[in-house]
Amino acid sequence: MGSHSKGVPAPDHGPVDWSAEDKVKIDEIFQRYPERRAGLLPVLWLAQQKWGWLSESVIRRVGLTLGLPPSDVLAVASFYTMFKKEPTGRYVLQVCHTLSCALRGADQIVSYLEGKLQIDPHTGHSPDGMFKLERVECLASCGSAPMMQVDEHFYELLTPQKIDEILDGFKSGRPLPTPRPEADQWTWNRVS
Amino acid sequence: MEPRILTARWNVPDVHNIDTAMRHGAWRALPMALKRAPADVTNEVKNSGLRGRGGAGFPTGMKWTFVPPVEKRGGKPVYLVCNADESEPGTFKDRYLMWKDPHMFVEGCVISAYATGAERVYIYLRGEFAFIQHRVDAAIAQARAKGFIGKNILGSGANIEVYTHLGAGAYICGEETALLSSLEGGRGQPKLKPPFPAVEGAWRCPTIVNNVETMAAVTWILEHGAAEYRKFGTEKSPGTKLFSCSGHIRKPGVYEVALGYPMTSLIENECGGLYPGRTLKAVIPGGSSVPIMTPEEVSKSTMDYESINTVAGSYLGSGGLIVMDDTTDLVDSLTNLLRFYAHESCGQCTPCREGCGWMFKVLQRVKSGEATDLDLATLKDLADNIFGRTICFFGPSAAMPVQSFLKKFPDEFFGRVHRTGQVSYANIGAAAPAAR
Amino acid sequence: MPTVKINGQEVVVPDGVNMIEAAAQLGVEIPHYCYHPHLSIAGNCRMCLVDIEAGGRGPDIACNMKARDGLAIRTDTAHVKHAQVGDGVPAGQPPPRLSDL
Repeated sequence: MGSHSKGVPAPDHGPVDWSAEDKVKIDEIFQRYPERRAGLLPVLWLAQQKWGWLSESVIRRVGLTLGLPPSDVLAVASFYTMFKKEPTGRYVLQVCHTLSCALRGADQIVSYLEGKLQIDPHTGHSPDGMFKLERVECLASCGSAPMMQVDEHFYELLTPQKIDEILDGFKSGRPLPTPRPEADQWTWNRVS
Repeated sequence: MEPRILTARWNVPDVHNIDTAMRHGAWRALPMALKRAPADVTNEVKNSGLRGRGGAGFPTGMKWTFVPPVEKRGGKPVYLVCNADESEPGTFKDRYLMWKDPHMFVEGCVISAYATGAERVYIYLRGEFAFIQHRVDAAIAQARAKGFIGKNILGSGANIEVYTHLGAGAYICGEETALLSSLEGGRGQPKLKPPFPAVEGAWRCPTIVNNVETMAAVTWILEHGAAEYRKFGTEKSPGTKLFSCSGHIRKPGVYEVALGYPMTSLIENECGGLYPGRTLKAVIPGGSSVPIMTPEEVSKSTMDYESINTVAGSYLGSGGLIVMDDTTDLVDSLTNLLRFYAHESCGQCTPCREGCGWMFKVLQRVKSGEATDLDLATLKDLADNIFGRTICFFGPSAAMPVQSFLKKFPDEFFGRVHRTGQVSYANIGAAAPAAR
Repeated sequence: MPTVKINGQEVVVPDGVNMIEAAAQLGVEIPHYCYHPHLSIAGNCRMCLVDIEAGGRGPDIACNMKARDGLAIRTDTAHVKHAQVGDGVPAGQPPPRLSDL
């Protein structure tokens, strides 16, 4: 959990707890399932949305909420790629590099972003820490490749120019509206 | 001309909203189904010959009959789970089906729940589909407001609730028992079968797991009837299917065609053919997990469950067609795929956990020119040693690309390694023990 | 009390035993790693894979295979040996006993 290097303590939130509204949401989540444990993934998502990443304190809080030992919660959280076990920059650019995207230039997109954002090969972050670049596996957008996911949104049919516009949107605090129109384009030349 | 069963409403703006959807025919099938006995609904689906559209192609109606009758359930509820975890490389049809016309598959879920006696439906979406989950949740809420979901639906006495459940990034959660493990709040690790989910699934209760596209097809079948569905497709592969087409084609995208449609026609007509001046090198027909096909095999195949198997020893799978032209480096492509499998292995069982990572490492050395032909013998042996030895189908899914790339394109691989002279494709099987 | 066949030899075993236990009754050792009689079946080391001659489809793991009438398995085929050695995991060797260490 977190990174221990040369005696530097892992970052952590310190003790955390849910708000009253959160608890209402959590109760509603538990109602959906016959067993409490099934609420673990939804509650982990809620925790990540609220606290940004799953530090040890957050894991402990989720454990208390579910009635599970923290080790059990961590065992589950660590299985899934989308649960963050470390803090990251604000914008995590997840570029797909599985076969269909690779066939349509995903590697060039990764190189372009690495250069444009001066990504540190060790941390994956830009120098100002705002962006993290990740290569991820197939995002079910093979027909609109190459593409990337940032937060919930898909940015598809990427070109260097489109990437520039997207990044400028993030940097200026006025991100491009989402979902993108390309999300509606299920074939090359057909838009609803 | 494309048949318009599943994609009928995709050109209608705003059809994800129920009023628009209903003006174009949505939620007509459910009232019809509710007037029939559940077993009758199951029979309609059986008679249609609909086969699971997630990849395995198991007859849907038959799967529903595996749920034990009420007297043999020990009081346990039945659950219906819709597998919206679409993660097979090359596959993206469920994503559009849910985004463009959510009401069609949600209606199918309610109908299927009614037929199988389920009172709760869980739609398990992959974690990356959060933006789609919002739209599906909205569709469910709209349907509930109209009385199509909830208690005593349309006065039929049926109580059916529908929930979405978001995964968090794991390809293996598309495997049905891993999906159920994840739904229950665990690591997405597949379980030993038997018992099969229809008998003992989610929370040890009878559970039917069906793909999104299968659910959408059920809606159409209940409205128009099995006989109408059988007018499309072939005898053993009735109906239509969505094909996600990607790779080196001019018009990548999702296309609905009747099963039995020639593969060459799909590539040249719907997909717009190859780029000018390029020639076809290879095609993966059904998502990355199925064996690769040569251009000659492509020219002889039709898009159905039988032909691809007979002609090329491959499978229709999820219908994720990946087209590769002559600029493709097949060693690079296979290495790319094995990186995917090595990453996604759940790690439970030895042949897969060790084998996938090992095959990836060998391929990396082949790609960088550091391998010998003995390494190719090792590679084949590893793949052969996974098949049939694992807990779930992930193992074969990683092995089949390796076996088929080596078998059908041996020169690409033998041409990239240092030749000791001890191994050629002809003797690669026998050479393996020596290679170890 | 079902009758099963292991490597051609018949044996009557108690109800509910798995094929590792059934084989042991005949003095046939099926190597295994993740199986223990006091634990639930994990079935993930795959070391106890056996070929099925009759009464089922193999290869399959012996620890999760309940003895039943008509079941015949083989532990001595080249195929099984290869499955055990597969991926370089040194199988075919019994796990070390405390007295060996």
